[in-house]
Amino acid sequence: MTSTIPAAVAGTLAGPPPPGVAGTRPRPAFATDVAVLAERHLRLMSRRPASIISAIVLPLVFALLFFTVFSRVMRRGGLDYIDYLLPAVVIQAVFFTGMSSAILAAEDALGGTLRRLRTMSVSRPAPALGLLAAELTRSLLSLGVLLAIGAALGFRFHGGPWKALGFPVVMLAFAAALVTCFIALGLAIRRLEAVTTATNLIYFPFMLLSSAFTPAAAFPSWLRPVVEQQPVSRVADALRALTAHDAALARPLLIAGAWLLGLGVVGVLGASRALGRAAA
Amino acid sequence: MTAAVEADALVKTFGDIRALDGLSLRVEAGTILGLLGPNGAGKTTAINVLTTLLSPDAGRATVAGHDVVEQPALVRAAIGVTGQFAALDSGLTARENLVLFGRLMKLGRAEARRRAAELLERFTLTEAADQRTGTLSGGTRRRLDLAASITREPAVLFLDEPTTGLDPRSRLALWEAVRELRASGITILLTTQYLEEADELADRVTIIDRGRVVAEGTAEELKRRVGGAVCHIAVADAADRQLVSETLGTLGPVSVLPDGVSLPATGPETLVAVVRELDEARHAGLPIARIDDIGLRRPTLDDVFLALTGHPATPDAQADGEAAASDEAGRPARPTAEVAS
Amino acid sequence: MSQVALPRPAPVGDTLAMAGRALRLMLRDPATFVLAVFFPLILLLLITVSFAKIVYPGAGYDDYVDVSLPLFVLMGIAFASPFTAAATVTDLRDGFDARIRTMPVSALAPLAGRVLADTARSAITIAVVVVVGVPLGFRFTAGPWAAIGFLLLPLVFGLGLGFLGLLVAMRARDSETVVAVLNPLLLVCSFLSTGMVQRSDLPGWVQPIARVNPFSVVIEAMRALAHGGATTRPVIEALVWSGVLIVGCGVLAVRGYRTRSDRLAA
Repeated sequence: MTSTIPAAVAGTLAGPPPPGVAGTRPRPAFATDVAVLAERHLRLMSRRPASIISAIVLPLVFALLFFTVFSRVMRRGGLDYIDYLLPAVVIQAVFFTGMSSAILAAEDALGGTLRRLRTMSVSRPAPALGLLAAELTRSLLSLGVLLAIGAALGFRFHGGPWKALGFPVVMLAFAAALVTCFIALGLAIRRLEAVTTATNLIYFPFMLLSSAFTPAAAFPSWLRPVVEQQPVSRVADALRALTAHDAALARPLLIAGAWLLGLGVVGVLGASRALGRAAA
Repeated sequence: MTAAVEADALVKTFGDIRALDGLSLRVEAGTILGLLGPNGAGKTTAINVLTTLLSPDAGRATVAGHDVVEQPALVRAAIGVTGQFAALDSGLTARENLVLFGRLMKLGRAEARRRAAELLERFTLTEAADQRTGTLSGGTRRRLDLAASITREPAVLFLDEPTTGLDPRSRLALWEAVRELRASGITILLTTQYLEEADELADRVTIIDRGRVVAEGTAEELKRRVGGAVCHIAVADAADRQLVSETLGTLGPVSVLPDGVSLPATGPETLVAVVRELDEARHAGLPIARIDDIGLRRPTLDDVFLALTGHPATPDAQADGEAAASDEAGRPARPTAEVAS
Repeated sequence: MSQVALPRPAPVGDTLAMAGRALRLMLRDPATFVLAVFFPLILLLLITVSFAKIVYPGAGYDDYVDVSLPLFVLMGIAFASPFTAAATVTDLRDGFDARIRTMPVSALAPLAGRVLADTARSAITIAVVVVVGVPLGFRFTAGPWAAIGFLLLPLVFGLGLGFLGLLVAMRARDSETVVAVLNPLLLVCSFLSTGMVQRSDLPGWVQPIARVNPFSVVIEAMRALAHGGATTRPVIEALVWSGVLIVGCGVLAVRGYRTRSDRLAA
């Protein structure tokens, strides 16, 4: 790079381009584009205290608070709360990640970054996929922190190493599906306050009207079917099956997988549509 | 004539930086003073002292007859300020902003409303009246900002770089508004980076650099000191610049600039003379490789600065107050309206 | 210029004007409105349906609403306060505050206006939560005067929280930081209290914290005012805590405001 600068200064700009620099036309390189854009997002995230807090500190604070406040009453009901709670705070962390991805997507759409990338030889889905990759990286980081703290509070994988390996896989699949949907949402709405409001309106009912924090049996009987069937509960079921000693595995994994596949398809369709519009 | 604004040897330092270094200036009542200087010359600091936002470390100043340090309340009652930021509430409509400022200027509810309507009319803002300020264009927002600073007719109005970042049309509209304000008898102190702006609006111009006054007079007087028009020969290559400057030395005092060579011009005949000289030199075998452009132009702030201070008003020459002080506060040294619009 | 007409600072009028502005902006910002009105309602409804049976096995959902409503009132008030603090930082940074200071406006009106608008918003939160809570099972059984006290107490405490937010705002670099500092603090105060479970159900080490936590103190006082029992002591404790926050944070925030806006004017 540096060798081209003196040439430009010397006024040879009008002449033929030096061979090998401007001569080769940049070709879209899918993997490189995604990696470069993912790195950009990770760099930006690492410089924003708010994003570190929402990815790491907030899930941790929630985990500790729920554990502290409710472990006694749960034990009275016969439940070892840390084992029950950990999948819930992992899901919650994924939600926080998704909510931040919606904001970041909307900011890129608003700030003109998307439009600019479209004018460059960058492959079309790369902006969304780069953000997704960055968010998945961040999710893994918060999973690590939550597992470490969980272990300190008594959380154990009771089903052995193979099932334990399935845990992050399911979590990442959930994160991929959810973050894709939230990126689509951010690109489609493109107003920061409205994005925040919309993501909160999804987060609260899905998170709190689920069996994530409390067993479905605690809910009023008329609500129970909804609580049991909705996707967040189904993902929590799958995660719990992977941590339990002898739970049936196939059924919860299949049901959760079906939900995530559906969610993922909706997300991809929505994101590609919104990406086209946001960059236009 | 009486002075509406008088500053005497103002000093203000931020850490090691002397943003104001003995600044004195005077604005006669009913006139416009243009305070001209490059980014970071101390213009905003001067405005902040005169509008009671900052206390000077030394020196004294009066505005509308009141001492800015001793009688800030009386000063505030007599001034209007339009900053670089267009400090309006983006969530409120244009009308609501004007009513708010009117009420804060103690107009009373009904009077504030009446005055807002009047100002919207006067500044051709009626279309924008009930839109949220955040959705307005940069030029419209600046006009609204100006209107907000005269909800109660001030004796002295401070305009800090009122047109920075505006497109040419919005700039013309704002100039028109400023002229009308002056016609209604308001004294105006206006800071700007543009010589053209000072030329258009100001009765007198004070040029400051590094917190000090370097020249004072009418725009005409200052331009005469610079020598009116300039002939500029754009030459990219440094060796060529040297050859050109030697060749043209016979025509007048030549300045070598980063992008070329310039010399004072009396009119089109200077252009003819320059072309002839260069052509003859080339025929005589002087190896001047390439000249990019030759033209006449009105003196710019750069020319004035070069003539008055011996250094150009280019960004790298501004190791100075405002920029550094603003950075300290963590905001960009020179926010412009384009960013927001 | 006639000297008679010179405008002078008017503390009350200026504060009202600034409060009117803050309220208007608040009502237009959907995020603040959602936080002040829907957030406590969502918590009230969703925490009740999910945790009531676990916290009080054998009791009804309406019984849980009866005990937990004060916490959700406080959380609604508390979690809206970072918005005010963030807006204050924005005013300081974008030059709005500096402009006001060049006008004949009472020096503390911008802060006082914020606090006043906050109080109005808190009143809306209290009203909404109570109006929804009563059909769900919340009861006033200690008479009208105590009920009025129940409605006023969180207003006074909210004033203290508002000043706490302003204090943080004076120290913060940007509005994001304000929210990032205040939210975890408010979360801890909300959870490590007697608002959701009985004190005896908290872990041993948390119980003394929950005892002195101002949120618990105010919640206990609100419960006493709603349901009867010994009211004097808890109410006095709650007022003392509120007073400490109002005076302590208020004085520091005002001092910070004076020096901070001087610094920013540079």
